[in-house]
Amino acid sequence: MKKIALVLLTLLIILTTSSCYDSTEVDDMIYVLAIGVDFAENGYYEYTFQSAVPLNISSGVETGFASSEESVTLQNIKVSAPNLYSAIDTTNQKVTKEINISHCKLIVFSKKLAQSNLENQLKAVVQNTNLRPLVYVAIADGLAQDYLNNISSPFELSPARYYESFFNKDYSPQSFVAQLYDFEKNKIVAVPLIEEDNKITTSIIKEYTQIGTLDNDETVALNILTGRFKSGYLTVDKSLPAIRLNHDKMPNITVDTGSKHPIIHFDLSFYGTPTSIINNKEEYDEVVKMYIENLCKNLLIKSSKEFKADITNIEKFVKIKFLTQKDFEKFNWDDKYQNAEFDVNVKYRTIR
Amino acid sequence: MSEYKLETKEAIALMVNLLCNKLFVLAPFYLKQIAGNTALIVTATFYLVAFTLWSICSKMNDIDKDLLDITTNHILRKFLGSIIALSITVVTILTLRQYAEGIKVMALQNTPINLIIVVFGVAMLSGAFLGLKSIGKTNGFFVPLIFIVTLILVFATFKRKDLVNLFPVFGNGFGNIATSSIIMLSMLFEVTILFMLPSVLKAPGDFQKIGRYTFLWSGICFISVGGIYSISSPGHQSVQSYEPFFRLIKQIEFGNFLQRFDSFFLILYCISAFLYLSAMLYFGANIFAKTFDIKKSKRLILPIGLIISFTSAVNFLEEYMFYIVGKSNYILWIIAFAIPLTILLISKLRSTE
Repeated sequence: MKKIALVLLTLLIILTTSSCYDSTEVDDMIYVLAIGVDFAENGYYEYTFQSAVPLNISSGVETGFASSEESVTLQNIKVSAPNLYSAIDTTNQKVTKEINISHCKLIVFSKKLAQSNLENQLKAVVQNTNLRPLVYVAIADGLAQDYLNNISSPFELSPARYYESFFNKDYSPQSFVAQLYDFEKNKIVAVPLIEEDNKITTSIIKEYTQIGTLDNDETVALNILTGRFKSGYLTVDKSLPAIRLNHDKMPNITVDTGSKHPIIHFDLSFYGTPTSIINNKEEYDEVVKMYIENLCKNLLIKSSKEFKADITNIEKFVKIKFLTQKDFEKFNWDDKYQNAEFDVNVKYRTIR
Repeated sequence: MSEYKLETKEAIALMVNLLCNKLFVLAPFYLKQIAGNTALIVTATFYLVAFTLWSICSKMNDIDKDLLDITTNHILRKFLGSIIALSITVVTILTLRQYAEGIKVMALQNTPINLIIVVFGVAMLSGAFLGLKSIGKTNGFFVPLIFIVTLILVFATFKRKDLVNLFPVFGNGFGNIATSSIIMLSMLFEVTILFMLPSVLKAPGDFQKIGRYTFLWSGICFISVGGIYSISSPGHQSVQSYEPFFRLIKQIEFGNFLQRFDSFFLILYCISAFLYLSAMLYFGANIFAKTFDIKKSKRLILPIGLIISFTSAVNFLEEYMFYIVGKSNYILWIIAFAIPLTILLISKLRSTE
């Protein structure tokens, strides 16, 4: 009798507490792949939720081609709302299925919004447990919704794969990878800025506000100075052959805080292969060295004089010199950086 | 207490789970908030302090006696037993709430919190009702598994962490490290149960060994997590998550194909919660029974379990849980370390006289 009662009790518990509240049927969901955020009227924001249309993608995958020219693989839903969560609710009213952002790959903000302030937007998404810290963040030069409307790539049938490939180009020295996680970690974050024709430059966000942009060469320098540069082609002089440059070691950064203005030393080490035969190796090596030195110095000077922001995060190497946070704050690094002197020392060797 | 006696390995596993479960809930949040980039130093310090205090206590303890057996004074015994049983109950209430809120935030967003508390409450009651044998065996089986997987998950998050974030090495100063370490001692409140273990051990002679291994394994776990939090961001984060461990696990990424380990974490989270809650309820009821000489402690499990579940579900906790947990950190270390040390010292002095 006791055993039967136990079995019945167990069944009762299993049946009543198996959480139907949170059951999610894949067919009942719209999985958002990208979110675009623009300014709207009345202090609201215009959210664009981009989702895939699975039926059109799957038929494409099976055949190796998109199912038909008319069939769309992406659907954009636009709503005006005071924040992301209200936007999700409003969208749920408008569509037949429930919005789910757990598979979101990208959040793109308009340049105007980035120049204003992203704090509320970013803090809200960081607290969202559905969004992963690995979601890519980008700035659209115009409107975020325009960027999402014009997404197309003949190379990728899956939109999710498209975003993963497009925003994770760690093989390309001219682009910078930024993820939500970076905003949890750093005060200053470099974010890809998408211009016309998918040209990517870099936007610098300091304390959630865009303070400036970097062109392609400056982005290469930023990648070099932050140790993210792996390899890439560099044209150091139009009259000389391009070079396949590889980083040798992680940059060694030391800061001399003893003098009136801090002196920041960068020791960079590279090796490279010219794309065609060169006549004078020594001279060529010197040109490459000078080119990288100038490239990096120009960026550092721009960051200290124009942006007045430590975009390469040298702060962490300064902190090593202090025992307590109070001492470090007293040192006033943010102000000191604006008058810092830079000493970039490049070691380069041609290997072939 | 129960006729079944715990094997040494089971006791170690039980204690490791009791001490480490807080890492899954709010401990990392408070650790980062209180200690900032010195989380690693603070964790190492409070573990060292806790181990030293426990070592002093264990040297003074007769090996086959628990804290209540040592206390010969009738009134003091009742007072001590009540304090311990009450604090275990309160800690269990708060932890049950934290577990329920955690799982609601992480996975069951549409499920009412009270239903989640009922699920955890049923698991807690059935675990405690089945007794020490079931608690010992399940802990002995699952805890090593949870321990290994947790460490693997923690170390898998190492990518993109920066050791330079450990600096400035003393963070907000020595004073902050010292006070944080004392406050964080409360995270090891469950050491109280270690002092109550001798009477339920198969080999009471292994009491010191159990303590040593408990501190060793739980220390590895705490220090690994403290270390990861120290190097995950510079100083005090402006953006903090209330589910820091879950957020940490979400950062795991090996290419595009090895991601989303959070589901593993949720399984560990639930198993650890069930084991923790049932053990706490069992020991809470037993200590209460022993204090007031109630012969059948099993009869106390249902009422105490219901009190815990219903109190966890009250709306009051929804608003004030963070406040209460934060403030309780200033008190619990006294019950876990200061009171046992005083009792044992008095008892030692008396026996010497």
